[in-house]
Amino acid sequence: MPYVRAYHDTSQAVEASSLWSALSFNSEAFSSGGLHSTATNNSRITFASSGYYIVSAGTEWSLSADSYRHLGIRKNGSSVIVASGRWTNPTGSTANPSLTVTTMDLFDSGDYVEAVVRHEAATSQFVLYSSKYSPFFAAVQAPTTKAIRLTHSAAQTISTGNSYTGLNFDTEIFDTIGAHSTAAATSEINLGLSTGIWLMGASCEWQRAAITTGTYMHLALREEGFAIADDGLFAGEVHVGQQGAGQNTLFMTAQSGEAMASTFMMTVRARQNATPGSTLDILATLSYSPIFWAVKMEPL
Amino acid sequence: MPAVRVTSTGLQYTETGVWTAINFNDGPDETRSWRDDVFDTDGMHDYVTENNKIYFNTPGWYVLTHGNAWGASQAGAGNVGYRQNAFRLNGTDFIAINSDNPSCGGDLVHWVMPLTAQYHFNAGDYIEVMVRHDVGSSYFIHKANQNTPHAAAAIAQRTVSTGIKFVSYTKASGTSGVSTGSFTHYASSGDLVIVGIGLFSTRSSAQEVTGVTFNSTAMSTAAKGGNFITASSRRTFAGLWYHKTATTGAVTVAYTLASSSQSHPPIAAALTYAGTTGVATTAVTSTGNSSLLSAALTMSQAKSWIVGVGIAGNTAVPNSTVAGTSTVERAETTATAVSFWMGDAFSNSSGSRTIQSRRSGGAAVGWAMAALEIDSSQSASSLVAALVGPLALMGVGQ
Repeated sequence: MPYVRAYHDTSQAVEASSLWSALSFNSEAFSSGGLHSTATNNSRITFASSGYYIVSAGTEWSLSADSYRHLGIRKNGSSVIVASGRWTNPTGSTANPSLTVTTMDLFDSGDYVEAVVRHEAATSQFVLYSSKYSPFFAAVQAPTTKAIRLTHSAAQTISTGNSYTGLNFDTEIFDTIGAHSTAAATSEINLGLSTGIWLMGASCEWQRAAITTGTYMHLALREEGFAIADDGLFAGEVHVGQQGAGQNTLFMTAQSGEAMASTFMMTVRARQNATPGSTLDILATLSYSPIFWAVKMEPL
Repeated sequence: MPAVRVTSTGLQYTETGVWTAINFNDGPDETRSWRDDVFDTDGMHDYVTENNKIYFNTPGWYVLTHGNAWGASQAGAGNVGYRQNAFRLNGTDFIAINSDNPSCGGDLVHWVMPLTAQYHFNAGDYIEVMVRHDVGSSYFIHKANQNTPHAAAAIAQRTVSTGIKFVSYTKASGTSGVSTGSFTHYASSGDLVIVGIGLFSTRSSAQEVTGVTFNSTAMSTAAKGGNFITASSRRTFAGLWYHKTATTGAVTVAYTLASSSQSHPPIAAALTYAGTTGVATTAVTSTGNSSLLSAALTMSQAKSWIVGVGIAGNTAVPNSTVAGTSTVERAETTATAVSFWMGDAFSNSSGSRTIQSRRSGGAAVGWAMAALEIDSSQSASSLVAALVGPLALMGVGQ
C-alpha cells in the first residue's frame, strides 16, 4: 500500500489573500508507491489507484500580531476537504502559530490533494521550514474499505450555553458498513456494527460571532456519554482587529483512534457561549463542514 | 493489529517555558469494561514505567492523534502567551507541532488543542507528547472525560526489515608510475560488488581509469570524472564500477589507467552489498576545491541506497567525517598526501539525496567524487512494503 511523507526544505512566502495557496514539497522523508514527485507538481499527492486514503498536513507560520492562519487539504484543485484555523496573538506571544490536520476520503485514480494555506495579515507571511515538522504533507492508503464520510446540506444553529448539541448529517458521501441513516437519528453513527479499532475525525466551520466580549466554540467527538476528542477556539475582543475582510470564520478539527464496542453510538457535538440568547451556526459547505469520517484499522 | 490509546487520571502541572512530556498513567479499569477507551494491542505502552512513552514494536506506517485542554482556573493566565503540544520522536525530533495563542480575554475556558500526524516508525522507536506554555508560573493540563489528555496510534501499513545490506569491504593502494593495479576481494553469489577508484597527480598527463575487471570480466562503469585545478596543476579523478557476481569466493579486481605517469599511487576499494538487484541508471560525478566532498543524486526509487567514492589531493588530513543523515563510512585511507573515502547512505525515498565526506582541518584542495544508486530488491508497490532498517554491517574482509 502506498504512503508518503513529504516536506519542503525552505520557508515559503504566502501573500495575504482570502484565497487558498498550495504549498510546495520538494523533499520526501518517506515514500512508497509513487504518490509524490519532488520535481513535477510537487504540491500534489496524486493517487495512482482508487481507494480510501488518510491525508495529513502540518505547518508552522511566521508570527505577526494580526490575522488568522488557516491550513487545509484541497482535493483536485477545487474542494477543500478539511481545514483548521488559529488566530495570531496581538498580546506578544513569542511562539509561531502551528497547525496540523488529518482527514480521510475516497479518491479515484488520478485524483490529487494539496496542502493549502491562507492568511490576511498586513504583509506576506511565511510557512516556515522546521526540520521534520513544518511543513509536512503525508498520506497512506487506508488498511480497509470499511469507511464512512458524512456531511450535512444546511447550516445548523447552535444555542449559547455549556451544553453540547449533536450535529446532524443528512448526506452520506460514503458509508460502506451502513453505520448511519439519513432518515432517522441522523446524528448517530453506529461504528459498533463492525467492532474493533477505528480512526475517526470531524471538522466544521463556525459562523462568525458578533463579538463584544468573548465567545468560545468547541467541537467534540463523543462515544455514548463521553467525549474522546475535541477542538476549541475563542473569538474575543482581542481578535476584532485581526479579523480579515471575509475569512474570519473559525475552522476546527478533532480526531482520535478508538476501539468501538457494539451498540455504542458515535456523535459529533458542538457548543458555544456567545452572549446569552445568541446563536451561532455550524456552516454547511459540504466538502468540509460539517464532516464526520471514520475508517476501520483492521488487522493487516 | 498494533494500536494503542492512552489517557491520564488527573491534572498535570508543567513549568513555564519548558517542553514537558505528558504522563499517561490510566490503567485497565474493570469498572469500565463496557467501553475500551484505553487499549494496547502490541505492548506499546506501560502505564506505570515510562508512561510518557509510546513504543513501536512493529515497524510500519502509523497515524497519530492527540488532544489536550489546558487549565482554565488561573485568573488571567489564559489571556497571555502561547500553548503548544507536539509529538517528539525518540527524545529528540519533533515530527508535528500545534501552537496557539489563547487570548481568551480572561474567560475561564479550557484551551483545547488537537494534534495529528502520520509517520513511519522502526521497531524500538518511541514518541512522547510534549507540551509547553509561557504563562509565567506552573500551569496544568486539564483532565476531563477521555479526551484530555489522550494519545492514540494505529498502524495503517506494516513494513518489514529486509532489503539492502552492506556485507564487506576491501581497500588497496596501488603503485605510482604504472598503468595497472589489482587487489583481491571476497564476494558471494548474488552479491553486488561496487569498486571505487581515486587518482591524484601533479603531472601534466590526464588521469583516468579506462577499465576495471572482476575475475577478468569487465565491470560496468557507473560514473567517472576528473578535476583539474589549473593554478596548482593538480588533477583528481574518481570513478565507480559495479558487477553482480554469480560465484562465491576470492576474486581479483584489476584496473587499467590511461597513463602511467601519475605522481601518486591510485587508491581503490570494493564494497559488497546483498539484497539488491543491481545498480540504477542514476549516477553522477562532482568536483570541487574545498574541504567538503559532496555529490547529489536524484534517487529513482524509495528504499534504495546511495554509494559514493571521493578523492582529495595534496592533503594529509583524512576525509573521515561523514556528513548527511545516515551516511556511513565504509573505506577510508590517507596515503602520501592523498585522502580517499568511500561510503553509503540509506535513502527511504526517491528524489534528491546528497552524500558527503568532510575533512576536519587542512586547506581547501581539489577533489573529485562519484556516486550511484543501488536498486532495492524490494518492490516499492508490494502490498507489504519493504523498508530497510538501520544500516547493517554483516562482516569485514580486508
